[in-house]
Amino acid sequence: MSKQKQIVLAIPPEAAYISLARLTASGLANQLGFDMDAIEDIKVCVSEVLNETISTSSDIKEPITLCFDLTKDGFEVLISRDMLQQSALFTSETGQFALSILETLMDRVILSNDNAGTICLSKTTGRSVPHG
Amino acid sequence: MYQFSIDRETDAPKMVLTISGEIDLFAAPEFREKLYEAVSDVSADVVLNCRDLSYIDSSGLGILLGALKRVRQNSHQVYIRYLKDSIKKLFIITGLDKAFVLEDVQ
Repeated sequence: MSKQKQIVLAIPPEAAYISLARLTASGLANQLGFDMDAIEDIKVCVSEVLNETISTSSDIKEPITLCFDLTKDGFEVLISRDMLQQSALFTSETGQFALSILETLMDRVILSNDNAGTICLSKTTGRSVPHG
Repeated sequence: MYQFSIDRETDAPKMVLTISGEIDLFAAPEFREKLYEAVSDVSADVVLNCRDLSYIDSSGLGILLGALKRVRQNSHQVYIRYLKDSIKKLFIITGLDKAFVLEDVQ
């Protein structure tokens, strides 16, 4: 995926701001020409990552950064938070639900072992899309 | 925002709970408290009317599963009605479609 544009959103690590990220993701997905089903899938998956990121490390106060890379045929979102331990993610019962949802609905899910605990989600429309 | 109401069907001994709006991690604590209180010691099958439920995530699914466990302790079942396709997909992915009884009755 070659990047064309990038949108960066930083939110406090609080559940109240997940809906803001969800709205941002769905707005971008709509702009990219994803169909309604895919937009719903993207909303759900961004929320699931944030749920895990917030609920498994509530003691960390650093903001969560969402970096949306718009590409020719879709987008990638990199969700990261300093000090986050990847090994703590997706271990609870709801975490297992979340991981199943991510792996089913997104084209690609990558859990990085870097210091920022980055999670990469990507989805393509299956066709080249123009960016306005 | 989500809304939650409790009603009892007049033609059957089932307890009907209506859930609408969006249930995410922010709404989860209050939703959990209200739902568990509603199904505690219930001696009837429970119906969740989800016609106007527009969004639910894994935290909400986990709460529904917790409610199911409570209802089953009293040998009853939870029926989920009128799920939107986008939400039913999450039940199928997580295997919860096998735990609950999903209905599309009119």
